[in-house]
Amino acid sequence: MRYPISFLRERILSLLPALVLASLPYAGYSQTDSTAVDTNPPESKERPFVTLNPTDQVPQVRAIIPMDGANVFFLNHRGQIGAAKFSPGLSQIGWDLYSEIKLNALPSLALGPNYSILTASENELTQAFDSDKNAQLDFFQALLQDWPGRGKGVTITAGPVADQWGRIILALSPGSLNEGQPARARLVAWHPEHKKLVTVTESELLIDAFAINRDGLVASRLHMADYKDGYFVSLTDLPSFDSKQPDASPDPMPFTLPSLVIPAELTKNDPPVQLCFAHEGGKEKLLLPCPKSKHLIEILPEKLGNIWQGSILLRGKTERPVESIVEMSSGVILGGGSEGFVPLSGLSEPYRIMRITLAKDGVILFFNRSIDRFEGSKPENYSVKAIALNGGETTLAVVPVIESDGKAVILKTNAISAGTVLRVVCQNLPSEKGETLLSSAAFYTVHRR
Amino acid sequence: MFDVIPTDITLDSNPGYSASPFPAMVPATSAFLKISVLAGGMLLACPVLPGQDAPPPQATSSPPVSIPVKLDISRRSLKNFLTDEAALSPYRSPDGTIGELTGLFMIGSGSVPYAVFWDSLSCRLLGVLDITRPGEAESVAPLPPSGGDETVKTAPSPYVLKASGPAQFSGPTGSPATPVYFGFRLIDGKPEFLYTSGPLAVEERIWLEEGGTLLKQRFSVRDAAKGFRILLPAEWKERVAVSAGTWKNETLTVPAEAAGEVILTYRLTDREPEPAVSN
Repeated sequence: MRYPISFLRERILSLLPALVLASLPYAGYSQTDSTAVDTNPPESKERPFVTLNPTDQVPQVRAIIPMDGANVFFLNHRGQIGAAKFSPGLSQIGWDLYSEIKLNALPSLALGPNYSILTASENELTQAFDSDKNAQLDFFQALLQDWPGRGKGVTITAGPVADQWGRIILALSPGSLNEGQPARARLVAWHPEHKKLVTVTESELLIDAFAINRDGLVASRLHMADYKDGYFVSLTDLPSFDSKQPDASPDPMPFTLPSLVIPAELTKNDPPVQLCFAHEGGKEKLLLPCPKSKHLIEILPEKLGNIWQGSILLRGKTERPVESIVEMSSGVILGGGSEGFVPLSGLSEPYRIMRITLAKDGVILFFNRSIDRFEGSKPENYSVKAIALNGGETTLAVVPVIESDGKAVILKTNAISAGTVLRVVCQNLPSEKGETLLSSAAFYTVHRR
Repeated sequence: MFDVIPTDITLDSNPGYSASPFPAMVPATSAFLKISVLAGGMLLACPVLPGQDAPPPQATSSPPVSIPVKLDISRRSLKNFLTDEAALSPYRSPDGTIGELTGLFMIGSGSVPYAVFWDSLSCRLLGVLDITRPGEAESVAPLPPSGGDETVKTAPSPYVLKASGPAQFSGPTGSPATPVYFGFRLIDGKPEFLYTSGPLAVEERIWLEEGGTLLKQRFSVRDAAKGFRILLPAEWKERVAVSAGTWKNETLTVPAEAAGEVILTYRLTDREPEPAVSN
């Protein structure tokens, strides 16, 4: 269906975010099927109601960037940028294209000022503007086309992602900048006020995707094609940005190392594609979707000294494939994939392992429901293996102790050494209501005790 | 059907990015726009100088009513289809290999059998593909041997236009400069590529007309006090009509007075064969 241009303009203007809306949430929202009516008082400066017709078309979403708690821009599978609006429960109200140009864009978007959008292809960082303010992007400026190693085949592999200092971070493929130096992948920072591109971390492995939290923690998914048993995620603290020395490279240069391994058995051998920091229950989590298996992986990062480790869990299985995840507001999580947008919060949560922590004499498993105490007290219902990061594995004998609320089990074991991945399996551990665990396996990467 | 909340904010309003450390970056369109407006309508007749070819056909004289085609614009990576050494030069890596076309624009339309390619690395029109013709790999097929005389028949290239030769754009002295791509914008749905070539700031607009049978290429150049030159592949010249400038071989020289707007019109269809004369 084609709409008159003026109508489309009104539609998309209605989709665009209004910070005013944050203070006037859903004033005037009406769920009637009647014709749109301007109910504003004559002296109101508000725009008239705009009617959105439902459409059968579902956007095939590859990347999302929230504008506020109710509106997002997204990138579809054709490389077009769209805008979508949601209700508080993340029901989709409507969507429309913000640009019909099909960009050769990597699956990541960053938001610039005045509703401009930043995208990156392998060879260009582009900022798209709506310069004539008709709610369609019409000006696409190549912000960056050159970087260290560009002439030797170094390309952009992931990004753009904005950090808390207003810089745009991009991942570059491994390249050797000087003769004899090892090839390294890089995260580089671009700032509109500074001419020099600054390397902020280096990595031996190509960076497929990355996310940055509000504190400057970078979570990267590292590419290791030959390793089939799992997928590496690294956590690296970005060096602080000194506005007085904007072009200075960090010294020492942080080096991105594989911090955590997501075992392939948790994803059904489907590589996680993107990463998103989210906040629930006062804790920061990392969510990674696996679009083919529809598994959603959750990592609970923990920092010991300057080392990151943590639990790696199956959070859920989505009904539709999810490629991209964003946190719209704290704890409100939206996904998107080849079958449209997928709300990922506010849903009934399956019975699952919520967290693993290390104890002095073993590990503690936390569940979101009380477990069946009879089954939970049997040692044979648990299996704990310590898989050394450099090869080999040890099976640990366990003695389970159930906490009073029934939602935690302490598995007392022999000493767990550093440099291992713990694989904990609860073979037969129903909830007290008889529910089956979403995944009987959960993992914890131990770098330090 | 849903009613959406009214908003009192539009794109005209400050969207509240003042808190963002990412400063507003206004695209540098104004300068380009200004020069277009100033230079528009200043096309002057250019006398034929000694040694120059006859004046080109004037595409803008008695302009026919022509309907632009709604364009589909995409950026794609494509295997490099160029074959001319000079045209391939910007894509040759230090080890001599030819890179893909990674900054390619593909311009077409669902109703048009042509795909137009423009590349942001060399900042030039690379070619026009007739999508109804077989690809080059399948267009050359050996004929079955007949009496020991093996012949090879070459089918016409699917490319109606394919770039050859060095960079198309040069200053009045004719020395080409390495172009630097700036970006593109949409003017009435037509892509206009912005780049610099030495001291010249170039706007190059591409679109299709007449049901896609005509390709239009509009140049508007500022800082061209002494005019500029466009070098076209020899095979393109027979298909093109220009609105201004004078030809010398394959080089179109555009005087400063016409630098604000020069339109090249390419005929994408083959000419009807002239009827045979019989006595």
